[in-house]
Amino acid sequence: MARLDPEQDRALIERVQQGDRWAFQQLVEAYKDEAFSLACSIVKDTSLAEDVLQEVFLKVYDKIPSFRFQSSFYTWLYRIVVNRCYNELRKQKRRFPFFRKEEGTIREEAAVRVDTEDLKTNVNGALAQMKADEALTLRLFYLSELSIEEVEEVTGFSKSKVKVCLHRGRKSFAQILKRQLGKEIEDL
Amino acid sequence: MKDESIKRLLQASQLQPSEDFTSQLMHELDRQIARKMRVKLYLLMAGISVFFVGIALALIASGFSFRAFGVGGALPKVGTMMGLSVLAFLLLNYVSSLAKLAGTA
Repeated sequence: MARLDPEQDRALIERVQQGDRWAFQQLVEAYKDEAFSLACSIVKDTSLAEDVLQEVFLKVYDKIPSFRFQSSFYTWLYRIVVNRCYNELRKQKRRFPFFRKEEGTIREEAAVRVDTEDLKTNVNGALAQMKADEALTLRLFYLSELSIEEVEEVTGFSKSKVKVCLHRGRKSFAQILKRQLGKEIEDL
Repeated sequence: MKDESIKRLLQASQLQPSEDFTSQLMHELDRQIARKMRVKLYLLMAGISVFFVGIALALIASGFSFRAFGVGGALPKVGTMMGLSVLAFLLLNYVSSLAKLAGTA
């Protein structure tokens, strides 16, 4: 399901605020894919990203009665996703300071091996190998099509940091894909 | 790599959560709502108990006051005994409510 336009968002949110669970389900359907991709950019683990996303949507249902339409719904939602994911990442680092590092290396190697199968796996493998800030900024800017200002709002980064992350992200994304696909990347 | 290519690649490779993500979420939401309702109910019960504890304490205090002002006979004793029994009953009730609440929250 594609992202909704602001009017549809508003109508659904107002219904959720009146306790309509079906409207909430519609909101979840509309935003779960992008929110999941953003969560994966940071935590680099699909099952953990799914757990975090479930918590986020439950929190959203709790907090939506106080949503006053001062920002767009998706920037509000993505901000919650990003904050929750960085918290989870910090928690994981505290819990497994050495294990996570090793696990990340294993996953990167596995990604390089498996990633010749198809483009989707290659792209997601490349994003999994990138730094969380860069992968997140890239996805927000290109996948969710947010403006630089909206990316700033969602991530809490400064404008210059967003620009630096985008620049470095584009560069490392292309480098990793080139390493994985070789000359095929020139046809993309 | 051009901006358009990156956009196309990322949009074509969007990740998706598992198929039953939404149904699981709605199920969890139902459970959470039911849990909150129970917590509210127990808090209400605890609140009512506290109110009656107040009344029981007032009864006990009045029994002692009667004695202090020299009123003898059965009245102060009945007041004190009634207050103490209401207090004991309510305290038991209160403890069981809190135990249930602790098990739910």
